[in-house]
Amino acid sequence: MAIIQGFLYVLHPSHFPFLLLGVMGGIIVGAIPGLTGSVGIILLLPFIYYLDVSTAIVMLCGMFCGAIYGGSISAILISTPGTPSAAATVLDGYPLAQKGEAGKAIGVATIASATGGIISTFCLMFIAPQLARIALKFGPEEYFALMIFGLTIIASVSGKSLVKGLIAGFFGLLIATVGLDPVTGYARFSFNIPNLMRGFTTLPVLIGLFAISQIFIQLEEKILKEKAIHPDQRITNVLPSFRELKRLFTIIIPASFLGTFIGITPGTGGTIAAFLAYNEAKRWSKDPESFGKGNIIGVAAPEAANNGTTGGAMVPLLSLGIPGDAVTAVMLGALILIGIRPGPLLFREHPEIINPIFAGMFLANVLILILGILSVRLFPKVLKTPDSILFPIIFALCFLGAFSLNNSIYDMLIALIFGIIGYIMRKNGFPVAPVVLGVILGPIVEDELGRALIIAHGDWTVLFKSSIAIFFYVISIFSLLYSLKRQLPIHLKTK
Amino acid sequence: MGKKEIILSIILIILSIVIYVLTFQFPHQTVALAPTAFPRFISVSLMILSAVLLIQGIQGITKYTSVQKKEKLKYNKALIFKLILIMTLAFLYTRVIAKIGYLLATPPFIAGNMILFKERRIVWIIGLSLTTTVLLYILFRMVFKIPIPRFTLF
Repeated sequence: MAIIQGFLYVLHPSHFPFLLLGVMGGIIVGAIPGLTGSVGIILLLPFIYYLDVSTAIVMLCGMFCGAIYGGSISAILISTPGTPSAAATVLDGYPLAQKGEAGKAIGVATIASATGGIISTFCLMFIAPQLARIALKFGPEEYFALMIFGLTIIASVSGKSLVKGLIAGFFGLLIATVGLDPVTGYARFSFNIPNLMRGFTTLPVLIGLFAISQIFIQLEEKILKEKAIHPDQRITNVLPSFRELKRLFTIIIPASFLGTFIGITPGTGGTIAAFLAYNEAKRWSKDPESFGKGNIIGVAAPEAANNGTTGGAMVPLLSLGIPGDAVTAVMLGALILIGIRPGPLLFREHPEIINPIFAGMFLANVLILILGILSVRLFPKVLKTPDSILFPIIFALCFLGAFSLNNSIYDMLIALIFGIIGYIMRKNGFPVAPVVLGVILGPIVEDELGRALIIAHGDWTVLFKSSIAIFFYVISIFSLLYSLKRQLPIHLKTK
Repeated sequence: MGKKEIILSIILIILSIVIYVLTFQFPHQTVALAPTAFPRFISVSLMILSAVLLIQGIQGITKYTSVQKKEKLKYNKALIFKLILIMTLAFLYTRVIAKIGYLLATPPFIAGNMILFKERRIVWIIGLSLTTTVLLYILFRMVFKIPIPRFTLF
């Protein structure tokens, strides 16, 4: 069976250490507030660029899964979610830590995260190939419509202001137009500058927008905040009793499926899944009043759900080439950078990559379970790493990473410029994730549109002749309307 | 929403107009997709969205109290100097590294950042900036065989 080959590949001594490093790196990155899974993936890119493609993807998967889990550690120990998807874990995780049950909370978070991840990986294995088989029938016009749908995710990752999110998305699309036009080969907005003719390389743009801008924000927090909170809890009794575990699994399993389903739906992500699972667990609980005061189910449900989104979000990413949220948008950029274009053709043309991804996702979650339980006492030490050591090192790493891809000092400067742009954007309430979506999906949209129009001899009505394309336009409109509806209460509240 | 939104939206409107005007320099093509089509669509969309942001900013400015203004001023004064310093340091690093190479340019860069991040222990600053530089060199150059900037002054 092909999947067994995938497992044999990942477990090979020359590949497995990369998965292990990816998961470990992901847990650390996720645990440290200020560093997210996106930043971790971006910092990993310069290294994996020089690896074998399958090994590189496996390492990326490890980082992705590890970071989502790692977010729970700081949520429990210092009441600060390491990643946005761990925000719901704070509600009961921190009260548990205050009661002296930090070990138990982390232990349950580890078990729930690993279970959520494993269940979602199984769903990925079964759903993604079927979806890809359907998507193989798509022509350029259907692909164009699909990418338009992908772009509507901008609305859902817009944060508090839809207008600002859309502006950020269009700004990303604008950045993508610099350089050679994919249809005619004309150098747009290059002003005869050779470096601009090749456009902006994705990696320095990502490094700038996510990592360097974050360093500026951390500096700001360092200046403005009095003192950082350090964990002082003793970590004991990590594993719950068998009886308690049995009770918890009645919540963990449905929460994992809920997370997977939400992960598959583009434009949702781990944060929504975690809060939904938390609310459902509270709603079905016999003791809903205990939630928010240190109920262990309030840790298990969101953690199972947010790690459940990892496999779920990989379904549209791998089979259709559209990201589900901000982290998978960065994953898409990372995959394109290492020479892999996710989409249905990936399943037909590169089956040798697909199976290691499935196996890698599964084993990454097994590693989360093992590493999480074994290294639980080290987590408070990781959180004690001073900003004055961590961020200067990351800054140097950012510049080296930006340089490494093209051996270009110019790319280092681009990373810095986008770092400043990203900082200004974030300080003014503009999210940076839509920029990434625009930068990554923009060229694909234009390319597919160009191809569709060339085939149809410039007839624009071709875009509306396919029922599949119309289906995607309709769900794009619904997706936008849904985001608008979600924004309305926030808008009215601020008024 | 307030003054900041108004300034930013005006900048964005000007940017979109400039982009639209620049597309007139592109060759016009009748078959398939002209190189002007996508940038023009983006600039018009950006212009419309910026106009919406401008309206939102004008609506919000009336709620911007003087207390908030004072707080912002205090916050900015304390911060801007260090932010400009870190950005200048990073810019100088990108300029200097091309000439003197990674190994010579990186320790002062890391040390400068550590000072900006309020590290005051001199031994730590010197030790860590040198150790990190060497460790990153080993990781990039020797383990992963990734090229790094070299000394090119002579």
